[in-house]
Amino acid sequence: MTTKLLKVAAAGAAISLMLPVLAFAQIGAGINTNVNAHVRATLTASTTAETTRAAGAKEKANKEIDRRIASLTALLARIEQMTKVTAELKANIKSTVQAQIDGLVQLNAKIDADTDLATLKADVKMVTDSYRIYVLVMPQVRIAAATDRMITIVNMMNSVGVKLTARVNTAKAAGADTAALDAALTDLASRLTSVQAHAQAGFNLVAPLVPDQGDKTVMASNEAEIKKAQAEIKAGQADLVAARKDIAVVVGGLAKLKTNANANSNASTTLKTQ
Amino acid sequence: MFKLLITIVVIAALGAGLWYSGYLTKIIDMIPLPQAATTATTTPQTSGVAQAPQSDLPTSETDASDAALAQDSAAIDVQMQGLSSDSASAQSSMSDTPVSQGY
Repeated sequence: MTTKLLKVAAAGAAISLMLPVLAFAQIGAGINTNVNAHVRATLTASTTAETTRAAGAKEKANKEIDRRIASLTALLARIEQMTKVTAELKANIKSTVQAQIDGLVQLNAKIDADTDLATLKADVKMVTDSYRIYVLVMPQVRIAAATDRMITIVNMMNSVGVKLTARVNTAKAAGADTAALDAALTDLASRLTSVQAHAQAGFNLVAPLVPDQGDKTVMASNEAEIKKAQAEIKAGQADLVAARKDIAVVVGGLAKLKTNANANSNASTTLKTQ
Repeated sequence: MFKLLITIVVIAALGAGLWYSGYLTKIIDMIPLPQAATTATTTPQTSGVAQAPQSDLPTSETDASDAALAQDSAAIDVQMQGLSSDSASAQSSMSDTPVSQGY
């Protein structure tokens, strides 16, 4: 009996001794459970925040890429209007712009598929660093298009100049004083030569430029060359404005000579009638 | 017939002698050759800006009437406006705003 009791007591003691352990274990388990839950919650919150940030970044990148593609598509239409560059160069420019569009479409797909923030960040950075649509490609092609148009205008003004020269010579042969008109025609010819030089210089400055790929030195150099090219276009434009004025002077002068000739003719007719 | 053969042999021997002496070559060099036809080659457009000769005017190149000149001037003005637009577009595209990296 006693033995049995002792055994029971021992068992009870063992159990009671274990109770704190068990209690600690339970508390520990409770602590662990709480900690784990907390960590899980924190991790979940952190992952959710990261996912939200990534989604926001992707949306922003998508918008920027769409904007660039729209600008490049408009640029393709402008390139199609170029008439004075060679067909080969025109095709080269078009294929370069199309390659930019294709590259951006691929980058867009990659960004959408990115799963970690670091890769996403690098890909988003490529939208500007690798493509440089607005600081390089757009001004580069716009300047080329401007030079093309300048040559078109030079051709037009040259043809008008030939017509005006014929008219002025006819008036001169009829005894009119065409000194002012001759001076305007001379200035016109000089201006058109200058425009051609500016157009060619502008084109030569931008033709060899390539994206900087994040290299600040190349970026600065590209910017400098584009600014120089823009200055050439501006100078050419100023010459064209002056040339246009020369044309207006000659056209106006010829009209005056005609008016005077008509007036003289009427006066002599009136005198005869009398 | 025999005499003809002899004549041919003598001439051939003379010719060979002149050739080897270089004298014949000198004579050939003196013969004026016909000028090689100069084909109008297009200068490689390395610069890219071609000088197209055709007129871009809306009127005939020989029509110097007041009406034609007025039409030509109007067409020039349209191109001048287009040039202003090209120049302005090149200027405005330079102010690129990088995609903000707000992570």
